[in-house]
Amino acid sequence: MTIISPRKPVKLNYQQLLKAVRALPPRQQQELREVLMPPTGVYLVRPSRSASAIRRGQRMAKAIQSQLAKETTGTLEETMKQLRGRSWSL
Amino acid sequence: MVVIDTDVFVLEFAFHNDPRRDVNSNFLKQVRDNDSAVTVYNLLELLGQLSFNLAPTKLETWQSWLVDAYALTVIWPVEPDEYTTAASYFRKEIFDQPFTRMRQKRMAFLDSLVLNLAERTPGVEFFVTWNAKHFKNKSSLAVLTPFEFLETAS
Repeated sequence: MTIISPRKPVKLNYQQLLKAVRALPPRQQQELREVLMPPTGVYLVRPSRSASAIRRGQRMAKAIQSQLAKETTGTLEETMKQLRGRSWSL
Repeated sequence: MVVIDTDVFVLEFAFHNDPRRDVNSNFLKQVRDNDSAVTVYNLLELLGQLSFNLAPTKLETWQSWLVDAYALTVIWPVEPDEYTTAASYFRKEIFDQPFTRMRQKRMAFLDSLVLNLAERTPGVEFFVTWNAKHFKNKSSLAVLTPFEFLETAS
């Protein structure tokens, strides 16, 4: 097999590299992730990303937002101060 | 990956007249197609806050209206379904028990954590807070203000 490599190293910026990585099959993306990222002691639970799940979720989110819009009082700042105290500010 | 704090979702769900709402919604739309995430702590903080307004059955479907709707990855410090002592303990302590209490009693995340631990500690009878009114009928412990405690004791 002949490997042709360009004389000058290809320099990609972050966006170009990200686009190239996203074009890889998911399996290779995962392999790349494992090579680049050392074990971190965290576990990621990924969303389903199926069109029907997203549609259903968005429909439910809208319904919940409509309900909360009618019932919520106060401001975001007041709510977050209750949750986080002084650690939350504008 | 973009990790999103609780306040962004509180604004998205509850504060429709806030001047930042359009920017907030646009941000969430934009990151939906990328790699966006919340930590399990943010998730429970949000669910605890919304438990005051949402029916338990709606709260239970968070996977759909939050994770699927916004294509969010949830970051756990351990594998949530792993069958090891540490992982299952963490899941029970940090997720299952607080979430059960939120659904049953409408309660914030940190309040749920505190009461879960206090209630199962042998010999504990009282939980004393200036916010006792807030905890009324939400704990198996007697919840009193310092003033009420002194009156009870005297």
